[in-house]
Amino acid sequence: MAIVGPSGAGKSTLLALLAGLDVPNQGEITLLGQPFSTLSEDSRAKARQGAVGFVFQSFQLLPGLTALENVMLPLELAGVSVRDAKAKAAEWLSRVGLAERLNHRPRMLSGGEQQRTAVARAFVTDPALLFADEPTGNLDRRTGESISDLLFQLNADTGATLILVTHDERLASRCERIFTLDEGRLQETATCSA
Amino acid sequence: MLSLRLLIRELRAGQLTLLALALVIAVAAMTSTAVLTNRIDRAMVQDASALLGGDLVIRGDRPLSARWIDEGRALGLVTTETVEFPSIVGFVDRFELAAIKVVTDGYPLRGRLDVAPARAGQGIPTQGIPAPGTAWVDPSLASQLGVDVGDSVSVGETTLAISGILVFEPDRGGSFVSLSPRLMMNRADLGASNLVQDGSRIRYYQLFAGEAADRFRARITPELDISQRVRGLVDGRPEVGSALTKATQYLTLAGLLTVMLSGAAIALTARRWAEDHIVDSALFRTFGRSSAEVAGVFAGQLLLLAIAASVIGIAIGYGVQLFLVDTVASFLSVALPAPSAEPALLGLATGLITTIGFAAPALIQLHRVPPIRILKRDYPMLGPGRVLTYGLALAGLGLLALLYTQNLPLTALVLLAVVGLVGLILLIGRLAIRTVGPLERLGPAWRFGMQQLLRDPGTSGGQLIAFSLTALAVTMVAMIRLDLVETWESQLPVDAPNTFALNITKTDAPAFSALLAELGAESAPLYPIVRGRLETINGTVLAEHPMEDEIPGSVRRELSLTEASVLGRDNRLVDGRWFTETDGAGLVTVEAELARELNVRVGDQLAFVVGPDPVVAEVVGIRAVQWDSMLPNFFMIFSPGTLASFNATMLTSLNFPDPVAQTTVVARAFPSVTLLSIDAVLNQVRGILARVTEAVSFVLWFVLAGGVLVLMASIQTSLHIRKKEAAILRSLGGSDRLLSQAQWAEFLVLGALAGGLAAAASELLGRVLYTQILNLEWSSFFSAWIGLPLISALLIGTIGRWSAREARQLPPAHLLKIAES
Repeated sequence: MAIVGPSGAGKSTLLALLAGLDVPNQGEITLLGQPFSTLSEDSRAKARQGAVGFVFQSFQLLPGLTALENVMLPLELAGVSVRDAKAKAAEWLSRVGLAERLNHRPRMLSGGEQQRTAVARAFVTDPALLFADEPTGNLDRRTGESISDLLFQLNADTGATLILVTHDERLASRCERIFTLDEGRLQETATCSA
Repeated sequence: MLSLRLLIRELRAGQLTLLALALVIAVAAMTSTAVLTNRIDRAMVQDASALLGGDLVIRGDRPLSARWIDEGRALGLVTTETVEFPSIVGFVDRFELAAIKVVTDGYPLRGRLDVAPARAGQGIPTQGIPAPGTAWVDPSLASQLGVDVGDSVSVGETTLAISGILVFEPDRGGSFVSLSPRLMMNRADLGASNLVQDGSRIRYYQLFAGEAADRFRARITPELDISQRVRGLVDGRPEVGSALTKATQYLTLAGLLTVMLSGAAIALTARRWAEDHIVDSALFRTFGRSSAEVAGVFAGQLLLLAIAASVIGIAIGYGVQLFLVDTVASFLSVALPAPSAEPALLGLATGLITTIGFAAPALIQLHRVPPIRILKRDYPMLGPGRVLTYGLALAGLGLLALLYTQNLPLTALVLLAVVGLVGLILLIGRLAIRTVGPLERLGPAWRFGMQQLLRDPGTSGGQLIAFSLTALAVTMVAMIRLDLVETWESQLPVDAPNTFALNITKTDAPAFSALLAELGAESAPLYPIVRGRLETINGTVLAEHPMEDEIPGSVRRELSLTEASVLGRDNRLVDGRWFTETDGAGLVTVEAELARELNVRVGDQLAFVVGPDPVVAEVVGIRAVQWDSMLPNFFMIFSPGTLASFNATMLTSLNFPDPVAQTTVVARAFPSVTLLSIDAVLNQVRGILARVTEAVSFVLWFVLAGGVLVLMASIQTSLHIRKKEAAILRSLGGSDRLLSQAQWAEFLVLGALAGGLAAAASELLGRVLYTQILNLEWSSFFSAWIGLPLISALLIGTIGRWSAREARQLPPAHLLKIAES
């Protein structure tokens, strides 16, 4: 599903609330069957582990790590052995078309390649839910399209639920459901088939 | 271990270089100075042993019983015996009273003898003792008898061939007065000399050396009889000791300064590191890690980095001290003991404590990153408070200072100085930053440069503090180094005596003084010497007079008593008064330390016996005596006339411009006068001072390295913003030249301000440091007020502009990307 809306409407805030990165002043949020808004931040983090993936507008890769190491990171933090993490990360990088760029650091990768790495990192833990915040916002149109192709392809392959926040109507139109956030109200404005 | 893997990855990416470097320098500086001071301290103890000829000496009227010698050997001690007594030594028709020392193989157990091959020769360190049938005489005895190597002298009923001139004897002792010229002979000849008779004044000394000396001392002391005395290690030789103590204190301070500077660099780089990892921290949270787990990962990284850097720092520290020690070692009379492991532990503690003290705030910040920062970069974040940040740094520094100096007052003083200085510089720095405004009118480059300083007075104020502290530290270390040398030199003036003259008779005195004047030798007053024993205080015998401890050793035997009308320049009255011209006989001034031990105060009556005659005097003054001045000094000085009725010889100290030749001249003219060279000791002190100075100069480089690191770290911290601003400037048409000039303007002004602040602070800190810690005199250092701002502007201008070059040299496309980020 896509969440669209003008700048400053609060799309990113909504995403943060949905993902449990922040808590609402009022009301309640339930995610993955858990009352997220009443859990502590550490319990929410626990609940997110392995179940939720993120793709960010500005990629958020660690500059000191290679592409492979960046993708390995969530696995390593979850306690997966280095050897397994490496194998799985390499596999995902080759799935996003970066098999030849494993040992490049972010600054040696193009914007598209960086976002592919970020996508591989989001999928590497097999999440049930994937949040994407303007995933093509920092990319030119062609690259953006190839990233969204990749995102929807992997989404279909893994069966994860994709929630994306975007300005880009073309991108939004590829989602099954579109919600518009405007002046504090969220309305489903369209339902289409991918 | 994830932390280790992340650490290795980051190190490889070069993100931790400055932080690691700062840690390595802090640890290396601490370790090298600690190893050096540790080794010097231990060497001083050994040097003190050389004074005794061993670690433990037992003196008695009879040889020490074989049982004790065996027991000492069983404890692993080596031992040897010496025997001393006065006797007449003859050569042809001349006879002189000499102090005979009979030595056995193995002597001396500590220290060494210097023996010259001829009277005019230089002393050479010598192993062994005079062979049976031969003897060594000191230069005084040689000149009095007119003998040289190859001549034979009679000692008792035997004849010994002189095989060497004894120039230096480690355990000769400091009491010049009691010394007659020396003859040293082999134990094998003692029987043939037939000098040991019942009733002869003979002293037996059993020397012991080895690890177990203290244990042996504890065991034997209660078993000794009244005629036996134990002497163990004293606190080192005062004249060498005070020089080395000052040097080690100085090294300690320089080491602490380096740690402080490195600490500032660590704090800056760690903060930058934390800022770089805010997103990482938030990202880790989106991966499902709790804030404690995330903090654990980062803390693990820092801890591992601290350990790795400490190991490298310790290795460098031990390497550097090898170099430093070599320069010092050659002037100690004993070999420097091997470095112990203690400084390595101190180095490790330095690494860990500085990391925790200075980088913990960064960790706390990372621990508190809210996960939403990953989506909203401007989401407000609560960093650690100032109190916590500075408190931790101060606590870390304090703990280190305490570990390092083991001296609470010194530590407190250092911390107080740090707090005061940082506070003062903070205050003045903020004000000073505001004064640069008018410089903007000098042109566009100046405008951009000054705006850089003015836009964020907090940050530029912080840089100003860092730079001025650096300049201050370097200045202080350099200044103290110069002043220590000069003060040492002034304590040992060129006219310091190199010779003692004893046994000058009253009839010889005028001619003797005239000859000295003719030779250009400066001399102290002639002091008449009368040997006497202190009997009663206020009519009470010593044993019944209340004292804080047992009767001091110096009054158990005869004292050298003298009288004088002028207070020596190395004496200072601490209580009462000196004699006036109207004073008659019967007054006395007492040395302060002895007065304290004897519990004697101004107004007390002291009674002495000199031979059969009593001498009674009232205490009118207490004198503090600088014993290491090399001038004649006395426990008791009477008012003129008090000792007039006694048959006294005189003594003085003098300074021969050409000691070797002139000693001979004087000895020929006054054969009965004993001349004793103290040049060897003086040269030793001078040598040590020179070498220690070299060693401390070396430490200056550490301080400088710490300072440069602070500079680079602080610029690195601001590099990101600089790049962005440079990018925007250039996108608006600013030329490379403009950027370059703006950076020049900024760093030159910052440097000049820092230099000015450092000059002011050094004025303040110097006064405290000099007068409170180093016991030196402070005089204002006016050239610093001009020189410091100039030098600091140039240095900081150059290094600053170089470190910030990245903000100029990026290709424009790259710059735009940064501007957008």
